[in-house]
Amino acid sequence: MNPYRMTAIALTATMAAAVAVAHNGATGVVRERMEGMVAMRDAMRDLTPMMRGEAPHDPAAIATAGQAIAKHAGEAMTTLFPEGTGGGASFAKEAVWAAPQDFAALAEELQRHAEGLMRAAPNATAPQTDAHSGMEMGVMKGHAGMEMGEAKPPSSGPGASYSVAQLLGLEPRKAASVQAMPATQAKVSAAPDYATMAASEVFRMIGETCAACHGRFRSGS
Amino acid sequence: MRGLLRSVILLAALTGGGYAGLRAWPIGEDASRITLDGDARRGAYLARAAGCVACHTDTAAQGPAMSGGAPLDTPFGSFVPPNITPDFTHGIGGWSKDDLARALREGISPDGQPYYPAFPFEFYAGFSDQDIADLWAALATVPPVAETRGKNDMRFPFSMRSGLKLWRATALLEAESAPVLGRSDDWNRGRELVEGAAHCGACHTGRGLLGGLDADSFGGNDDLPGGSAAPSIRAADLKEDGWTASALAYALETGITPSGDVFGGSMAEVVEQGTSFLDEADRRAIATYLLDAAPVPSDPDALAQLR
Repeated sequence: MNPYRMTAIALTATMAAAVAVAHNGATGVVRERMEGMVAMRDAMRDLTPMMRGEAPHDPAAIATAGQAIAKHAGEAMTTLFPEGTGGGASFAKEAVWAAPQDFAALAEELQRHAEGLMRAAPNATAPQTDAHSGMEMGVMKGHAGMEMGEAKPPSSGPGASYSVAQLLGLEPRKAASVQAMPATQAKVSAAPDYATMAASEVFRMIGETCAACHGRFRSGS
Repeated sequence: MRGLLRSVILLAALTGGGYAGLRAWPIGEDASRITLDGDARRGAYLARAAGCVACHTDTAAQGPAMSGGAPLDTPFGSFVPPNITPDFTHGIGGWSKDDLARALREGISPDGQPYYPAFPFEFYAGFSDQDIADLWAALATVPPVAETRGKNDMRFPFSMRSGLKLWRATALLEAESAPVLGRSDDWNRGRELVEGAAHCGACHTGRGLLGGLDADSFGGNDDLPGGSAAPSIRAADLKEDGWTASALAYALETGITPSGDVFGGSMAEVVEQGTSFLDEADRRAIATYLLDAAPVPSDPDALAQLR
């Protein structure tokens, strides 16, 4: 390959990377953390069709994406948010520095889930088609509602996955949303056993963590 | 500047129209008489879909369900979603089904006062008597909470509720969520949710100077309370951004978008406290409708900029 061509390729790659993040002229640590976010976004993008069940299950791709996210999560993320780097090109809200422990907790949770995704990578993405998994969604949802006693949810119809109390916010939804876990663990779920979970379920948890963080610490949408 | 303009418009209208006359101006339809029995489960699902639970509960502060929400800061002042538990003093314990119907469908309190449109009653105009009876039955299962968590803090002149009667006469835009003959059940269910209960337009439709909804819906709004921004959700724009029906349904369940980004801002709350509770069939219906909604009408709307 001639040097001109190599230079051209290198230049194109650099420009592509720049375009991806420099929509608002971020520099230094702000730019660095934006690049990390973009890398995580792209990892999520690559897996989304598979997690929706529209692409074949690919354990290697899942593990790669999990690794990419884990690499930019946890401390790797929080060290890129030194005090006084909000405003300007940054989308970070002041809340990042007003509640640093909450921010760090979410960053760490993201790292745990991302590493968990690597462990769950071999598990088929669609548990309802896997008769041996023992964690079929419909079954677990049914159990979750049962403990409500008087208000037994019907097996179909609006809101069948939740009890009346859960729909009204009187009781936490967890009983229903931990449906991916074995029944014995549904009560106390300190550290989920990622290796026994469907990859799509761990992926969903990553999304929840992202949303919790974005909702509180990112301005815009 | 916009804030000043808003005040000037309203004040001019108030002095011109006569404040006393405005106060005496009766609003609302004749009272309905709802005698239907409600289904608490259906009502609870509707309360979830319509955002009653999300807005009237201060989840971040771990407030009791329905006992009052987090303040919504707007250019008109700060709105605090009130206590809607069945407490007689602090909540809506003394309300009848008909009171609930009037509040939701017309935006009028039991004592005849107009509600601010921060309460998205315009979207609830199409609720059936059965919907109201169901909601009433669901709210009756909520434990009363004897507490008022906060009060509205409105800027003058918006603090004068009777000014809202002028707003109602000029800017109120009731949702059109009724089914359309010749469309699929799925599409019509999506329409009922998108245009009605789920009130997508409250954020995704632009608003005029006085907070009235744009007649051209779903074009997006970059100027939401709390610094949030809502993109256009018109079919053409959604498709251009790579959205498919299954991608939309999945995002409404998980927050994860086709670009790999995950919703933040108010949409994170909409998903967590709202659409993730919906049945998959309803999320699909919303997606079906959004991706196949009628083209935006192009008639110029003279009032659009002011309301």
